[in-house]
Amino acid sequence: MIPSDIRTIRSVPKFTTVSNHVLTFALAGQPNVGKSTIFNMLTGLKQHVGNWPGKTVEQKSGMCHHDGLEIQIVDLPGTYSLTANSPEERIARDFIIKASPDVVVVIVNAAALERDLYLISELLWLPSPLVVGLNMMDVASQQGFQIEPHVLEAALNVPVVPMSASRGQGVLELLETAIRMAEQKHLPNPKRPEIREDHKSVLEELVVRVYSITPEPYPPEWVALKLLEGDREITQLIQDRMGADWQQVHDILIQHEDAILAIASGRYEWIGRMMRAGVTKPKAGQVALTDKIDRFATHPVWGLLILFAVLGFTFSLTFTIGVPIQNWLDALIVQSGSTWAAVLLSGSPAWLQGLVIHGLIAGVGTVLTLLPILVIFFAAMGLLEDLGYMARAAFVMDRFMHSMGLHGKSFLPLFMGFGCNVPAVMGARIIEDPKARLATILITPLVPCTARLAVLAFMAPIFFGNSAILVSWGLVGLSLLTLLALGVVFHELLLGGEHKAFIMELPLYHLPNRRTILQSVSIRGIDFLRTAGSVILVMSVVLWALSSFPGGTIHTSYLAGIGRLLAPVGSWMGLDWRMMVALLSSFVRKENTIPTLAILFAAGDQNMSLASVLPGSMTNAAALAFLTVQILFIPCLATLASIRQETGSWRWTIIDFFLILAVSLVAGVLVYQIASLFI
Amino acid sequence: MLESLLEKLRDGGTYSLADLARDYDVSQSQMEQMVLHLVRLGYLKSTAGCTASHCPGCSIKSACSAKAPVQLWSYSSQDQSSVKE
Repeated sequence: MIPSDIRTIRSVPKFTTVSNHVLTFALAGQPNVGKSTIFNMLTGLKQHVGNWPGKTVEQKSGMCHHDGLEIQIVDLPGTYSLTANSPEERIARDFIIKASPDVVVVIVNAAALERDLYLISELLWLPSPLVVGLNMMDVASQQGFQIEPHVLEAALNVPVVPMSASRGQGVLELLETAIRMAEQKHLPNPKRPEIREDHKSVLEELVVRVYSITPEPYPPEWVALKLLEGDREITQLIQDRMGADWQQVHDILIQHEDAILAIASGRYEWIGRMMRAGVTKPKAGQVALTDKIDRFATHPVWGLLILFAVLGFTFSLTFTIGVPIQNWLDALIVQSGSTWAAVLLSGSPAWLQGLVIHGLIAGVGTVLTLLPILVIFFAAMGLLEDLGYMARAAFVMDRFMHSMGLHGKSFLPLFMGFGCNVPAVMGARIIEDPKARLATILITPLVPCTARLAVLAFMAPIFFGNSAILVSWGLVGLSLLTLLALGVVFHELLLGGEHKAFIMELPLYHLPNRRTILQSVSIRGIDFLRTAGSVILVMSVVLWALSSFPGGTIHTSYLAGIGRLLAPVGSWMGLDWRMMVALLSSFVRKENTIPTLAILFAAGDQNMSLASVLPGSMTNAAALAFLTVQILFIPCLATLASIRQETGSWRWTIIDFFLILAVSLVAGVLVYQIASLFI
Repeated sequence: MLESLLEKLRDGGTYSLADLARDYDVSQSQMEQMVLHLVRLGYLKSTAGCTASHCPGCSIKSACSAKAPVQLWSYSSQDQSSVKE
């Protein structure tokens, strides 16, 4: 008895009745391989368009006449495999099995052959003869593929017809080959993928068990294979027909649940063999270059060294070009500005002169002089991003982090963190596991953001001159090492050492686009100017007020009072209270360190730049300790708010705050004590 | 081949498609197919959290330095156990 679902498929499509005079060819293939072009060329206007029975998937069939033969062409829906995961896949395989076309013509894209071979590997198990239309040979040739159709044909033991349907090449040969196949009585056995030896015997056992109950026209061997693959439709079909005997088959399937991987593996190994036999692809310039560079750029050891070299070069470029311009702007904006303001405000109240000269010009003016340094830094980062290097930097760092047990996806927050810690904390949302997400959020503030790097870029040359690059490089390295160390701690505490794997597709390297880099620089530059004109302006006024009242001098001010509370901690690092206040002010915005120092050291008043005042106020060991604390210091207010929002926990926010505070201060003290021995 | 790939991923770590393709002597495109196959089988998860197509609607794009579209896949023992169920 024929099951009802088979009758449906066999009876409804008008053209599927096979007679002595009409051949039926099914056109199979993945989407976008040129199947429709071939169908249209073969059938012309003689087409019938409708829906497949019971489905909303379009059914196209048409008639073709060649050498007195009448051929019905059925265009099957585009499918990637025959696993019945989608209506398209179910329709395609049901048609091939149940309607038994005389030939299945599978169209493949020669330029993406390995992708299409998976479908062929499945079609080879079905009873209809197969012809492979190797389409888009012209595209494959343009992309550098050298394909040997005859070698492929021998490897598959199935006819392979090279063609370029869009140019009308090979379509006739395809049709004639299919007709020859349809007329052949004894077809050669195609070379199918094999499955692992231990599963081979199970497959044979299953074939024996299902042979007698497999309904026509299902091939028992294919049914057994699909049972091992866990195909739901076939499993249900066989279960219904076996009744009580199903339990034995079910037990076998449970014992060999890994067969699904073994079968797919066999297919991929087969694809690999076919590709090596019939296809040569001399790597195109961009791909070959990417491969060559990545052998070093993504290497676990070389990659890290290259990353630190790139960072060093970025700092070097920033200092070499940016610092002289910054000095010039400092003379222009802060020093000349203060002089001009003093002249213009000569008759005005003292507090107004103080506000403008010591508050606004010293604060906002000094921050504005950072703009050239930032522009160069942003341009360097934009260049590296557009070049495709930043993805490698994150990959190398992530691999390094992973080796220490951190979560794989943490690379994205890390990546963002170099720009700003706020989106970095928010970016941790991509990590589904709550504990892994929490671990990533808690360590993200240790990624040195642009603002911290800008302060570093401003202050390092003041104290360390030609050694500034080395100092900056070392401090960024220290910051990342601290991040890793804390990551390991959080990983062990929160995740109990669970390991995850992570695969990443790296973009190709390409020539940077000038517009993209300019856009990136302008977006970040404007954002910086906005900050200077809002938060930093307000902070400058507040800091000036706190440093001027009460008493009119800085030593009697509120700020001095706060600073003196912090002075004992500062003394462990050789820092006076003014430096501690500068650190404290960075809690609002990291850039605030600069205007705070400018106000506290009264750079504008003495017609001297901050750069000339600072070196005399502390030792180099203390300056190194200050920069160490500054780069590791507590996250800014906005980042802390993001941590609270993303973790939903005040407890973790406070723990993170005090942990990072403690780490930064301990690191500062250690650096000062050790550096005092040498410098 | 897929079993061996899963075995490798079971130990954790970060890999690029190019690295894996080299290790298994297949093209990068085939390795991508294998990874996608493992995604379909439920052994790996595709992480479409941050790709170029997400950028236009993203509120933090101006501050984000992850401009390059990246495709990520992850493996975890939890995913593995859910497949077996």
